[in-house]
Amino acid sequence: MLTQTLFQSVVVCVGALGTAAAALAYFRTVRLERPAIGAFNSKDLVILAGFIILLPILYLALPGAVLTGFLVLTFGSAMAIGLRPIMSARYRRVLIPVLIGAEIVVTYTLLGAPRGLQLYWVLTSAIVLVAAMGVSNLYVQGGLRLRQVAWFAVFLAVYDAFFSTVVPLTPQLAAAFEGRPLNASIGWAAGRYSANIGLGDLLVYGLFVTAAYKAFDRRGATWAFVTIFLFGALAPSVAPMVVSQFDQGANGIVIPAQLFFGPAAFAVTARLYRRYPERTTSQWLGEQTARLERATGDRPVSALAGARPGEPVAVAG
Amino acid sequence: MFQTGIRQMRMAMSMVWGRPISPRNVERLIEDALETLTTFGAPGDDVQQLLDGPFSDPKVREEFQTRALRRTAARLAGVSPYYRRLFDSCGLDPDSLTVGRMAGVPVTLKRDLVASQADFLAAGSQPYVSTRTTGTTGRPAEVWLSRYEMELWPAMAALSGLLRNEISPDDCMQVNISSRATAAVQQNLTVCRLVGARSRMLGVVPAEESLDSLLAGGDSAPTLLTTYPSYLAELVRAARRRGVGPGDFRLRRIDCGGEVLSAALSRATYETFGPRLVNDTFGMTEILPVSGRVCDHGHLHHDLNMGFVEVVDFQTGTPVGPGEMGTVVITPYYPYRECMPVFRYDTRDIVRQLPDAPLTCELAGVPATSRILGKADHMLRIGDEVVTLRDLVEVVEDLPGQPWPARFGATVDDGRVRLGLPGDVLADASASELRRRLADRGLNVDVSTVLDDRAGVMIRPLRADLLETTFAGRN
Repeated sequence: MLTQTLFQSVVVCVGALGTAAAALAYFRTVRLERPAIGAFNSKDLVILAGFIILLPILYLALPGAVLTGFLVLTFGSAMAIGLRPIMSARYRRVLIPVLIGAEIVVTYTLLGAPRGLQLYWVLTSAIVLVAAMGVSNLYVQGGLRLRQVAWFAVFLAVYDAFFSTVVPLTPQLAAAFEGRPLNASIGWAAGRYSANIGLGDLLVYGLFVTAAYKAFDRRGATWAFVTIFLFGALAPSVAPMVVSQFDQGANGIVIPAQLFFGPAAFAVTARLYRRYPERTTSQWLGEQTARLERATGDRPVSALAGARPGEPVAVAG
Repeated sequence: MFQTGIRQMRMAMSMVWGRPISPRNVERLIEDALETLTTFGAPGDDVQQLLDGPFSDPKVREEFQTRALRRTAARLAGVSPYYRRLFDSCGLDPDSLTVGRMAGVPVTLKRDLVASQADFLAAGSQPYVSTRTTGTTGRPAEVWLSRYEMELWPAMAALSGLLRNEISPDDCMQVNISSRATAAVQQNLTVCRLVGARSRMLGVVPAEESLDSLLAGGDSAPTLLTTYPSYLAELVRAARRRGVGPGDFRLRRIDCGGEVLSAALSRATYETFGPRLVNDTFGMTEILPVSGRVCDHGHLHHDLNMGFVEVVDFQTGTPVGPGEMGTVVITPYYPYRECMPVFRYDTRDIVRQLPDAPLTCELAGVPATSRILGKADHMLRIGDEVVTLRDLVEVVEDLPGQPWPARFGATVDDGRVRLGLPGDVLADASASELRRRLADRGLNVDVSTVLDDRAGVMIRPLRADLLETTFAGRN
């Protein structure tokens, strides 16, 4: 139990903090193209919440092949969002199908082979990392505010608690994904130990850290990382030691991380808003542009873009 | 974001399929645009294509235009008694109409609209408001508009204005256009309402009163002004008389149209009011909601999303080539125009086609012509030589005495252009100086008569003279 917990803690911490760090680095250096009209707001989160409730039911009802097709489409789109600004279409059109295709092939052919499971997790984790990084940036660069992310985390906490303990939808879903292609999580396996953390959790961590950085700069990001580490990674990993409800045996698959993270994220957000003025999206865009101008020798840069839409920008500081 | 995407999709589908566009849907998009501007401080990256359409590619443009023309012609053949007769007479089959075949359809003139007004009303439409032309070019024409049109046009204009930063909720618009131009007045006021900006509808009142309004209110003083060039001239003169300058106004933009705006007056407006932009717009009651705007390079770019624009020969009605002059003929597309639509309406506004070379201005994706040079019916011809209203206005308004707005009459008399001006117009400049300046512009015009008063010559009508008195003005 202790070894599994330690193993789980390491894997989940690496996955959670790694994804959050990647999302933040992306946020600071890459400007996603956005449509002429439209900003992400609370209504979008309500729609997303609707999908979160309905999709697992759909996933469980779908035949295996259809579910895989659905996931290929989902991950292909999510990866395209993240890679589009940093990789030309020529490479993207090769990399995304190759990565997803390789993952599917490995799942069906190599899972029983030596090192097969590790290869599976490398490929799956890479796909999920890029997807979580891209989609969280899409939302936060698209205007989503920290306050909205915090409320969303609270909703997920309630959702997680309900569907893990009252209606066991999440465990069923985890079981359905196990050993199937495109398992929506970052994980690792070694010997008889296996641990992973789901895409939904990673997405929320990516949203939280980037929205906190946007609103409160380094101070916000620091608080976000601490919250993710303590309540998004560590607490859920050690929970099975004290709460048998979450103990899924050696798999350690189903831990309602949001149950811990949601309230903590909400409290941290409330504290940040109470103590510091929020930096708006337009202010952040202005500051990023100014930093870019300094970095490029005071050459005037459009206040809108900072660089051509979708082009990576090098921002100092 | 998701809802905005769905609304944009709905609007795009209406445009592609030629179905009525829901004004409510456009109004919601305005709210989305406001939220976008509040969040980011500017619209997103593909705003230019959203606003100007995919018209830089000639092939795409022609496909779009062919579809829109067929749709519009098919509807007119079904609902417009006037065009059913006209299309029958010229053997037009709407389903086979192409851009190239448009020249085969006779143009519609203002006199047709005046003479057969009832036949232009589309069957099944509900006339809601009538709007009249100001009558500067003859008997006023009355155009009926439906409620759908009166709701859709301002909504489209507000959305476009917001995204182009032509208006924002912080703005206050002063409207100095004739109160009889009900469509334009209603459009301006509704645009302000939809955007959340303030509006001051004054009409063509004495210039001193308008100036008071422009100066009043401190931080809430007008930031936008909509007027005619001739009235703008009166305002400039009033401001100079009072000794006020750019620091006394908050104006950031002045839109003027309906008349020729000269370079001299435009310059003086910048110097006096200090706006960031004096926008020379093109619009006309009969062909609403199609409009045009002048870019930094002085080209007139028409909005090709809402209508088909041709430049045709004055006599033959066939398209003119690069560098040639012709009149602007406009066909507003369905579903933008519903109640009293026109097809190939000859505005009689003269423009010159630009040379056949790629444009380099900020609106290069939208085809353009020269600015409006004047009305075809007021064009002066001496043999092969043509003198337009703009030619004369540019020279007269550039005289040292700054005689704005330029009041003069011009006719061709015995093979020479006779330019008649009130005596005070010339002020410090002599008639010979005026002749020299005209010659400098390459105009072989002889100022044969300079009048001491306005008697004996038909002074061109100016909209600034459609004065609407107020009790305050009478004191």
